[in-house]
Amino acid sequence: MTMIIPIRASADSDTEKVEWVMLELNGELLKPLDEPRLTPQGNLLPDGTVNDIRRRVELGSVKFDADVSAIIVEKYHTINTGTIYADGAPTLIIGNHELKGSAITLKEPFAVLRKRKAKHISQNNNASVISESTSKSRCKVQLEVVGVVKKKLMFDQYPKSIMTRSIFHP
Amino acid sequence: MEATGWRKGGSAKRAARDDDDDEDEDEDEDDDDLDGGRAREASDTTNDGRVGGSSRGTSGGGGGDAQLVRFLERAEMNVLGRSWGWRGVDRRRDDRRNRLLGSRGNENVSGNDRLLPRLGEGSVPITLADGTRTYVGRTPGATGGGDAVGGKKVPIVENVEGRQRGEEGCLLGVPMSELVRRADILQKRAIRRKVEREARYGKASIADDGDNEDGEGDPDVAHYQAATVENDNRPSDDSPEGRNDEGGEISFHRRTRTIEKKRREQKSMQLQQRLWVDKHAPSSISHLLSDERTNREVLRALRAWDPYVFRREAPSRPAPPAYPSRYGQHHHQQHGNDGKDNNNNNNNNGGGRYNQGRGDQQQRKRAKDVDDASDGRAENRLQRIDVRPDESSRVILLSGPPGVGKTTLAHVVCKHAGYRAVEVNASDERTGSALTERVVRAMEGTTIDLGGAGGDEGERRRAGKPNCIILDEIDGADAKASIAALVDIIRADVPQPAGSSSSSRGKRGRGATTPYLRRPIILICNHKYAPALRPILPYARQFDVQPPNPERLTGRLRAVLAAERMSVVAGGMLLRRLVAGTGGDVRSCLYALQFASARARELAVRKREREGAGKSKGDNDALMVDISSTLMATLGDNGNGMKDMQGDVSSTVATVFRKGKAQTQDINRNKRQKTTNGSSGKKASLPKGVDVVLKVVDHFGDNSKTLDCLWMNVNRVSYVDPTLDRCCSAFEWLSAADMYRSHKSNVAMNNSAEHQSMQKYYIPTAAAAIHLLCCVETRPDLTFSTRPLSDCHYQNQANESLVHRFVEGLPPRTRRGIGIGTDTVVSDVIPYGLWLLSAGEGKHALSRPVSSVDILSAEEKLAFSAHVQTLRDLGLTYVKDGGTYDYKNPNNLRLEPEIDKLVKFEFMDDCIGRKEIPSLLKELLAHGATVAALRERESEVLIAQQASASREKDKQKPKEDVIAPAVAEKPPAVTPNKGSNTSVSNSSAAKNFLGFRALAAKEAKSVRRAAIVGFDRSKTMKLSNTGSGVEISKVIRFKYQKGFTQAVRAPCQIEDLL
Repeated sequence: MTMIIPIRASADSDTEKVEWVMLELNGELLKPLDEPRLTPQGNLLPDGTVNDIRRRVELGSVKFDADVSAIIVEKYHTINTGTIYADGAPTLIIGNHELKGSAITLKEPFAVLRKRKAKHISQNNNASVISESTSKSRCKVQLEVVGVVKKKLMFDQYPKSIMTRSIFHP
Repeated sequence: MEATGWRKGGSAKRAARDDDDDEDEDEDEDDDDLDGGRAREASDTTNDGRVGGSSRGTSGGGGGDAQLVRFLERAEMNVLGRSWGWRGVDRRRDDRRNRLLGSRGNENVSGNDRLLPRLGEGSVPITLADGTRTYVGRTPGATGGGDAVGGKKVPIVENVEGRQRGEEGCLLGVPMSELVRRADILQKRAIRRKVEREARYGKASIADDGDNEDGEGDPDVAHYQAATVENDNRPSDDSPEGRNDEGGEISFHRRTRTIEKKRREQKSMQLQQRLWVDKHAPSSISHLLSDERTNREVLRALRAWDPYVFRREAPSRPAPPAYPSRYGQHHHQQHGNDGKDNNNNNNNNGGGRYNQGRGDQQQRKRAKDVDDASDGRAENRLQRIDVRPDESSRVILLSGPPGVGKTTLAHVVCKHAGYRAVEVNASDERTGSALTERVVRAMEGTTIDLGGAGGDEGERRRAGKPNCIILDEIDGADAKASIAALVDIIRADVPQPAGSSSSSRGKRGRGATTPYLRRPIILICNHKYAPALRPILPYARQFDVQPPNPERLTGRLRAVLAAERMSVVAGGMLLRRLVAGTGGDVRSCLYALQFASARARELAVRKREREGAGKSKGDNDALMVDISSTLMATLGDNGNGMKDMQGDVSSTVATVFRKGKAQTQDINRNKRQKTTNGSSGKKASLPKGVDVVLKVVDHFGDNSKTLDCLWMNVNRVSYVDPTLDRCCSAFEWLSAADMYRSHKSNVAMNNSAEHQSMQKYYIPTAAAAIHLLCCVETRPDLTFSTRPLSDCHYQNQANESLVHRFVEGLPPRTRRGIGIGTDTVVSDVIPYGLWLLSAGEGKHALSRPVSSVDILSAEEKLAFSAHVQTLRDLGLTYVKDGGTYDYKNPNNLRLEPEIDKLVKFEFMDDCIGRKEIPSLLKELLAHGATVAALRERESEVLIAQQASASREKDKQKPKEDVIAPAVAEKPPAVTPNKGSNTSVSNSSAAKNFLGFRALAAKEAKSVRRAAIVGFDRSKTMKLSNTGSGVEISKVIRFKYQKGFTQAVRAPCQIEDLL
């Protein structure tokens, strides 16, 4: 039995522009000391992310050597603060650690998919569908390509600890 | 002549006199009584005829003070109030004395100048018998008198008038000796008047007459007069000069002698009422009953003071009594400018010292001066260094059982060595300050020389004696303070004069502040090892006064009986029994004898009256009364009347364990009675043995000792006890009795009269019970050594104090759980605590000797920290055992306090199988405990700080709560998480001290450090290193893992996609 899962490209043509970067770490991530409080108002955004800023947890920041700007990677999505200059060696600051790494171009790019229910599809029927999904309206699930990963930043060296300076808070 | 100086202190002195009145009687009587003894003593010692002329113008030493007081009073009353006609007599006597002195040598006549007062000299200090001081001042105008007697015959009346007009504040214009003579004359005149009146009115009672005439109701006056009459007239009769000069008084003397006789009779009647103990007290050292060698040694110890007090070498062995010569030297100092001739005269002239005087205000200094730094020459010889006896024998301590004659010995030795005994009794006020004051006063003063005019050795010996202080019963109540004060005095050094010997003035000016010992002190006590006496023992020459030799005592008792005109037909047997019964207690012997003789006399008189009523009372005295029957009655038929059971433990205990003769039947009858008639006649139903035992134990007196002996013997005696019931109940009885005996039993019971009485009645009762339970037919094999018991007692005390120390060392939190009594500690805490502190078994055993904690395994580390915590909780630690050297492990460590001793038994060798921790590890543990202790202390301080801080926070807290919702809207990254902080600190304070205290301490420490640096750490925060402004605590952390990690490649199933 064959089953066709419709995979949809972004609605916009700028799908190609949205390039994701994969982080590879040698170790494990620990949850924060103080769990941020969840407010009851914390709703999910229509795209499934949590709207509330307090739900967000900072993961760290990546800097590139030749870069002035930095991106702040968050757990749920990435806030782009600038363009990635892929040339420089990346530096990740996470917690009290500073990790030096390198940017590696993946041999085969990855696609980042987002699963969508059929209901959505029916609702967004007007949206342009690349593949032949419309014919199979019975299928409830639709996969949407959110982004393409062509590069990964690999941090596999021994981390350097950073002393955090405390600031006076009156 | 004005007596203002005297009157100034008049009221005080009168008060003193009132006090003296009581003593007067005694002293006067003593004079009579002791006169013979004194004469004996004098003849013993001086071996020449001095005694004959010794007592002119004065009574004996004892009566001297009283006489002085009376004399002064009289001087006020008579001499001052009347005309000065007596001067004529006085002049006559002066002439007589001149002649008398002239017979000795011509230069002596000129020495008479000294008898009269000089200008500008102050006054004479007089210390009375009771220690009060009087000052007798003199007018400066008295100088004229000096010329008067020198043979120039200047009309004295003029001088007297001049004196009357003279300055106030002065008193007697003449020396004391002069005044004494005047008083004598007045006395004689009064007696002459009396005799005349007697001749006129017939044989009226003289005593009444005297009282009437004097206008005083005081009967002492009669005694006084009698004493004076004796002392005055006897020497006058002896000396031919007196008869020649006072030829008109011969008939007077004859008449006075009849009066004297009557008085003596009267006095002897009074003497009969006195206690024999006082009446027959030994008066000289050869009469003492106590051991002669002790007497000699005491005397020698007292003589060690001679170089200081009398300015002469101490005799190497007891020698005839000393004659104080220091007054002459003192005189010499005062008049050093007068020339050598005068000085020599003065040295011969004992009374001359009254010629010098200064203002009243100088009295103290002067008295001191007499002692410290008197004559330049004498000083050169003797006073350079501290010639007092060595510090280790400055005071004399006499100890011994009551009634052996310690007090008597002290008094007699004092007298013999030329001192005057000043006794301070336990009944007197003996607080430290009061005692010091009295001692100092007694040391400064001296008895006054009332008859110094003659320049005669005998007189001088009698008067002018330095004081010797006798502190009787110093081991009495509140002795501690007074002993401490005394030790201070003893230890004080003589202030050394700074200048040369000639600058005695300078010495006088300084150093009168600290009292130091200037006169010997004799301390008397029963037990010299009383705790209160401990501080003074190093400074005291100690003598044990032994009970007198029984033969000697018996002989003395016989002599006393003979003197009392009593006889004991039964011979020495009764007396010997009496002596043995009292254990050599002279006092109780005499009491018993007197009691017996009084009864015997009474019986004899009654018998005599029955036979013939015609006998006069006077014959009663001559009657020889036999007291053997009454003495027998006093002693009791079997000698139990006296305290004769002393030291007889063996018989007491034997009575308890030995079955009486008719006792078996008694018990049987007793049983029958009990069964037949229940409670009737319970007293009668008691077996006879019980009565005997009760009585014997009661007589024995030392209940504690009895009880000890019972304890020791109750298991030795083999009584019939197949079921051990008797043994059980016997021990129950003894334990109950022991409870009443032990002084530490209960605070409430201790010291209470109830407890005392319980002890008194319960122990004999227990003895009786033992008797009923355990008595045997044959003579039991008894032991009287209570050494094992006392060892046990000592060990018990040591253990108790050990437990006490352990409990005191417990930290408060542990002590709270233990409760009050130490019983729980001993039974529950210490054994299990020691179990916890043993090495243990298995993986957690602390049995490896390691030198560092790091080597220990995790389990061992756990055990280690638990062990340290146990040590801390029990307040224990390990210390090096310095006392015993164990060859197995040389640096053995033991627990401190050594509570393991409490549960260690010699005969049970490690039966529990505890394993000892190796000493290396013990050292580590001790170190750990020390560190833990330090930490605890620190954290306690911090907790206290925190508590105060949290209190402040609590004040602010409500505010925060109000603000909190508003803050909630702000991003949490910026909000300092204060609420959680406080909750953490609160919970840590509330929770167990173990886990969270360290956290809290750390927190508090950082707070404190921040405070030092200048800002509060709690008000700071750390932001993320990324610069996003998020608090670092809310950022994901990363933990690096070494080595190769596989990428996370989770298998994905198609269902996940659908």
